[in-house]
Formats: sequence, C-alpha cells, structure tokens
Amino acid sequence: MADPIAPIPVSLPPVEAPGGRAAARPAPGPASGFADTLRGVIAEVTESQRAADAAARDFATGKTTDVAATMIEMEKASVSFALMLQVRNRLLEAYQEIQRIQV
Amino acid sequence: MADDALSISASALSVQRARMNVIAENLANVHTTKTAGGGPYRRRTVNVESEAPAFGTLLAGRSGARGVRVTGVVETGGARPVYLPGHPDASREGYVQMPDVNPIVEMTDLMAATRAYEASVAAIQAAKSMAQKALELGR
Amino acid sequence: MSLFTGTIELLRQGAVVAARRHELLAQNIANAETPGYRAQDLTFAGELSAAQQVRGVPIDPSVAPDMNVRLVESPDETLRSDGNTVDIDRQMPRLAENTVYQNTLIHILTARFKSLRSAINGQA
Repeated sequence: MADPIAPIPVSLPPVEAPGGRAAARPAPGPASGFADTLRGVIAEVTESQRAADAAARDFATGKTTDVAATMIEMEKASVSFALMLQVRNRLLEAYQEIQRIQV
Repeated sequence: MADDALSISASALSVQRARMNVIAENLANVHTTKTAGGGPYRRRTVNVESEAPAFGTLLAGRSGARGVRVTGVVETGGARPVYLPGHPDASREGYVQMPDVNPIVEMTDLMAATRAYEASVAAIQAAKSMAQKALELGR
Repeated sequence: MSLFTGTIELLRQGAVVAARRHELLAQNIANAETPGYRAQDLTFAGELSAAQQVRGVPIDPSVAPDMNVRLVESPDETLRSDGNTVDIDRQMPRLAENTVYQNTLIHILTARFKSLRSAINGQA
C-alpha cells in the first residue's frame, strides 16, 4: 500500500538504455513536484495523441501508405495514455487516503 | 499517383500483361501473309517507360519511387521474303512476304515478361506480409 | 515522449527505412524489363564502407536521423545491351531480406510495447 504522503513514483523501471530520458526523472519533493510531473505527463500524452491523430488522418487520406509507421504512432499514444491513466489512478487513491485521515 | 509500393507493383503487372498479349498476337500471326490493311502481319513490340524520377531525387519522407507504363504498341517488324511458289500469296517469282516474327525470340520475351510479372507478384506478397505484421502491433 | 526515446525510436526509424527500401526494390522489379533503367537501393548497414559513403546521396535527414542511410545506384551484372541494370534474381533476395528485417523490427517493437504496458500496470 503506497504511503499516501510520499510522492507517487513516476519514473517507471527503465526499459530503455541507462542515460535515456526514461531514467532521469528527479525525485519529486513538495507539492510543486507533483504538479510539474503531472503537467509534463499530460503534455506528452497530448502530443502523442496529436501525432497519432495526424498519422491516422495521413493514412486515411492516402498521404502516407506506411502501415508500420502509422501503427507505431498509434501504439505510442495508447501506451502513454495508459501511463497517464495509471498516474491519475494513483493520484486519486492518494487523495482519497488523505481525505480519510481524521483531522 | 502511383508512388506507393503496391501501385508500383500493380503497374508492372499491367505492363507485363500487355507485353504478353502482344507476344501472343505475334505468335498467332506468325504465318499471316495477308492482313486487312494489305501485306503481311508486322511484328509488334510494346514501348515501356519508367515513371521513376532521376536518381537522387528523394522526396521528404518518401522514396519517390514510381512504376512503369506502356507508352505505345508499335509495329517494328518488316517482312521476310520466303520462296514458296505454290502459296496463294506468292509473287510471280514465287516469293511470299512472311511476317518477320521469330518464335524463339517471342518465347524468350514471353519468359522474361512472365518472370517480371511473377517478381512483382512476389513484391506485392511481401508488402502484404509487412502490412499484416504491422497491424498486429501491440495486439 | 520520454518513454520512447532510445531503442524504440531507433526501431521505428528502421521500420520507416525498410518501407522506403521496399518501394525502391518494387520500383527496380517493376522496371526489370525497362530499357535504360538503372537499379537503385538504400544502404544502411551499421557502418558504411568508405566507398558507400562516397557514392550515393543521403536521404532526407528527417526520415531516420539516427541511421546512416544512403541512396545508391546499385547495378546488377546483366548481359543486357539496352542499359538496364536490373537482375531479378539479385533483387528477389534483397526483397526477402528487407521483408524479414521489417517484420523482425515490428516483432521487437511489439515486445517492447508489451513490456512497457506491463511496467505501467505494475504486473510482471
């Protein structure tokens, strides 16, 4: 059970080579760390959704016929969305835990 | 615009089919000494042109590859005089103007066209296989 | 996206290059009987030889920035007299190799995405 006061770990176990950006997130401290991290994740998700949408449109209109490239963009958007969903769920759990604390 | 792999290969199928049709016509008329327009059948060939751009023009994000097309079917053959005095179309000296169609040349061309056709079919199969694999991404 | 730099991006670039190479090979094969047509190819082995670096042109840098891809003239030895430099028997193995390369990249990418999802969901 995650300690509700502790920061939610957003750095996933790195699946990329060390030195990649996936491994370099600083440990969030006070509340601004949360907000920044969440903002960053949302921005990245928005961007990957936009890219996937553009790829799908380009494919539909015949601007590109590269199936592999299109599917890769779709998958990237789907995975980043899944990440954001998990982050949101953890935040919600933490918030609910905090609410339950009797003051 | 035939600039995706499937269109390129499809254009090749059309072109090689056209060549095969003309070869078949040549072979069928190898003994035709009199055509509607008068004179013996004249061998036909298919002019094929590539739509590929000059080397080095690589469009952003695309390979810029293009297919082929038929630019025309032309009569390139002449006539061969053959000594056949009993032939209804023989001249007074006994010579008949025969089509300048050599079956061996035609068969060689037919084999080349068939191979080229089959190779483009293989290219289409490869494209399909890659697309199907890509569609399974993440599933 | 921070999740997708590094290997996944390189795999993606490889897949894009493979698609471009397939178009070129399809063009070569389509022109196997076109008089005067000169065969082309894309080279992107890990390190290009000095000769390969010199000849050919680099492709648009936005396509595969982390790969060293060059468009080269790639004539096959033929006995033709019409200037055509395509030998179908030489093109078919290239086509097969490129298809296997592309399918393998997709396979690896699929595995990577699956493992990312597992990490995200906290499952093994």
